[in-house]
Amino acid sequence: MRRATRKAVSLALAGMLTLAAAAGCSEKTGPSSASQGSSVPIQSQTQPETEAVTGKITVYTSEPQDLVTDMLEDFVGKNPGITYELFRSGTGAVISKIDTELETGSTDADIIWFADIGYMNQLDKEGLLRRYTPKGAEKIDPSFNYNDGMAWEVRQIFNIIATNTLKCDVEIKDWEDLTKPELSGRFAMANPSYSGGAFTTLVGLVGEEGPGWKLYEDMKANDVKFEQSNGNLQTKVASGEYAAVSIVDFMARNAANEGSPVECVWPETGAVMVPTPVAILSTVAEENQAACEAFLDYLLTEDAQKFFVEQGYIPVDPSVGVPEGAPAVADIKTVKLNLQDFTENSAALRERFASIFGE
Amino acid sequence: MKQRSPRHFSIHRRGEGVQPRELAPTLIWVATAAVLAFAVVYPSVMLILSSFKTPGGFGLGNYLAVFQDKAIGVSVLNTVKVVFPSTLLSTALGVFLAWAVVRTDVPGRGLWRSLLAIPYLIPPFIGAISWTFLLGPVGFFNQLWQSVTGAAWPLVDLYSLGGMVFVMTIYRYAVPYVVVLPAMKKVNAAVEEAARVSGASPWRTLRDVTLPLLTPSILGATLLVFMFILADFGVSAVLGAPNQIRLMTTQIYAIINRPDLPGNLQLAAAYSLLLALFGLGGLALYDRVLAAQKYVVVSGKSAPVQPTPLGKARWGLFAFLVVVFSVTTLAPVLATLATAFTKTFGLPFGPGNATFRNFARLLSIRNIRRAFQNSLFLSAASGVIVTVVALAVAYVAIRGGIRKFWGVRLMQTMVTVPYAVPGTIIALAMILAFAQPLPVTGIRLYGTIWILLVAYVARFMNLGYNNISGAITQIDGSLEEASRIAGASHLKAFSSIMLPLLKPSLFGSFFLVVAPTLSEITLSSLLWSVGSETVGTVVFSTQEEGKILLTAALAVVLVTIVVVLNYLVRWVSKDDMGI
Repeated sequence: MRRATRKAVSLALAGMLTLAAAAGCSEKTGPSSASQGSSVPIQSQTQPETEAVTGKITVYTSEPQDLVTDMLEDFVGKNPGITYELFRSGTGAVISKIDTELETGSTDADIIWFADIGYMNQLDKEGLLRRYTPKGAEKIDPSFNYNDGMAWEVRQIFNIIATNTLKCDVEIKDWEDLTKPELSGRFAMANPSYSGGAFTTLVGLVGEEGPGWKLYEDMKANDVKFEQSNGNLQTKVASGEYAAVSIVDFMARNAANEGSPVECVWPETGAVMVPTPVAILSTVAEENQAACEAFLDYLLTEDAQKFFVEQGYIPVDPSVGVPEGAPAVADIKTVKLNLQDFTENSAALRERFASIFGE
Repeated sequence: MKQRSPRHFSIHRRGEGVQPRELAPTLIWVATAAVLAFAVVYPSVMLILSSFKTPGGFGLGNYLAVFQDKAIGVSVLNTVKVVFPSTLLSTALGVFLAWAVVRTDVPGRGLWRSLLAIPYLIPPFIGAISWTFLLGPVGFFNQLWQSVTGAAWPLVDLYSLGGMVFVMTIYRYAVPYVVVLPAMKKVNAAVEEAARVSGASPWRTLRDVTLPLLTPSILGATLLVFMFILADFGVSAVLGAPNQIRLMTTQIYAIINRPDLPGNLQLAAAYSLLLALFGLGGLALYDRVLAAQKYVVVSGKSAPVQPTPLGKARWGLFAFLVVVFSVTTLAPVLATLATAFTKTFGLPFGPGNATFRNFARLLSIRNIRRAFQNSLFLSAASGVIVTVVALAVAYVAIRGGIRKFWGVRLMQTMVTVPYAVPGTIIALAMILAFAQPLPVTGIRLYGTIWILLVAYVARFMNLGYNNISGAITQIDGSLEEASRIAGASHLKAFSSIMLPLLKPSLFGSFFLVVAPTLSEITLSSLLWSVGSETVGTVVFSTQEEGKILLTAALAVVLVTIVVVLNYLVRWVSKDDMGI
């Protein structure tokens, strides 16, 4: 009797795994063969606009996995003919994936979306990005259109300061306050060598309107800590490991809205606007091009803009308001960001940073 | 645990029986050779070739660069500083615990025996993550310390070399523990008794009698744990990231992920081969120890183990076991559970701050759902492939019949080596071999889930091989011969005599492969791509993203699956396998 049960369980176990295998397998063959562009039905390019768009988009991004998944699910929910694939990792890892894929053949990415405008400029120079003007582009500020349709800002991210209300015992109003001795060893930022957002912040802060390199030198002297991602900064300022951090605004705001002891500080000199645009690659298979365009169109729709607000982001469409706890867009002061620095001076800036921090 | 006894890496000698060639076995042999050539030989050759590839042709440039690179030098030094202490500490702890639960009268021996083996089931990188909840700068322990003492700084810094040594010791002691346990049971109690009768204390008996008798077994366990720790990627990646402390494996990983560096893969290849030397050195020593082991007299048929009476000290030992169990298992598990059920991070955990939504969130993210599907698929598929190929290689190697075929030894080596060298190296070899489209067919494995399957099969072949070859050795060749004499073909004799007898081992080898592949991280983290994420990679990236609550929930789900699987397997196999 017992023996029989054992046998049954053992068979069930094996069966379960085989089923899982079969499921995994069938799910697998679809995307992998599709990505080689062999088995996807060819779509007519001349379809009228009212007809549902079909195709598949593969998005490479450094957006938070949960937020970007919700967004994509909403998009395919509204466009039943479209499916998506998502590769999500840190900005550095996403870029290294694309580079490796390009080096050994072709990349699977159709759409890229991360905080490295410099890298996008470089891809553009190599002719790897396709220009497109999404519907609704007229609603947004022209500065959100990079290089004449090469890439589009779809919501705004600012690098600001966040403090832990239980652990931070000094008043912080501006970037320079981060070098106060009370914060020695208790202030952190993302490492510009790894994080696109942190490098952008550096470009802004050492630029003409920012506090300059002295800020970084003083922070070095004040034992600043580095984290590899903004997500880590969010958790660690919430938990009190750091009294203050330099972080992207939505993460700090979301933590505060969740009830964590976090307060957002918008620096008096100005926050740094971090370009995190979306771009379409020029290598997208023809049958998927319409789907990629539909995705960019979608991101600027009122629904998507409201969705961004729900997720805690400040939108690019001024008509949908701002998330709870965020300042009105008109009140946000930013330091000027020299976009040329990204492509032309990037290496020199990185080098200077490295020399200060002895990397 | 019998199946995984010390012979993790043994290479079996050729069998004596010579049988005439037949077509069917030859075909099977050729097919097996083809699988191994594809999954092991081709990637290895590519790895070695790449390491000599320089911009100007072939040369030693990459090796020179390895020796000149400062970061690489630091990583070698870090590796030495972590691997040796944690190897020694985990061996000492594992052997002591095995002794405590087998050869003493500590209260609750039987229960302790199972409890102390639990860390064997927990994937070390999950263990490392659990420890960050506990000993991280704002882990429960440091928070308690700071609130009690009012100190401004956490007491313990887990993100350090010392932290790595600690976590590796905590999770790896289980390897020597389960390896030495069976040998510990076989030590003749009469020898110990003789010592005690002559007036030696229990400690003296342990030191001067029991341990020397077990030296080969302990030495084998030490080398085994050395290879495991050397190969570690998960623990050092999790604990090293915040302060950018790199060991050899994580340094190779970092170099592979620097496509902006010209020739980065070739440099990584050269560095990998140096690291492989350490692993292979360990393997060679291990084989030697095993060969020596048979001369050690451990009486096979001793009376039931007579535990050493410790007197009052047994309660001291009991207390020690309680501490070990609490520290290694209970505390991290509770910390992980508390974190997984926390609603708002940064506020104290309690009834008002508890929720199930972290688990619900996992299910709502498609890539995470699919990661579980992918891992189940990969582990089941590699379990089947490994079992079939290992059966073919082991059978042919032991039963012969094709003695005249070249390469029996070579095949055994191909099965053994990928498990003896760190997984990071296997992953790199796979990238070098399969990133470009394959010749003739034009199929590109890199970027699909199939490269993961090939890598898993190559890496874990050895687990199945040892299990099956051990079983074949135990079946007398005369059984098959009888059937052959009665007129059965080779294949018929095999399928009607050997297969039924081997069935339990075949199931065993399947599950031995399934367990580690389910939570695999080293190979996956370098080889995954769109649509082929695995459980290991999503845990890793969720952790990197700073989503602590989700990471904890993932860890809870993964460990639950592994533990349930283990106990089912143990029940199905009637305690023959599993912990």
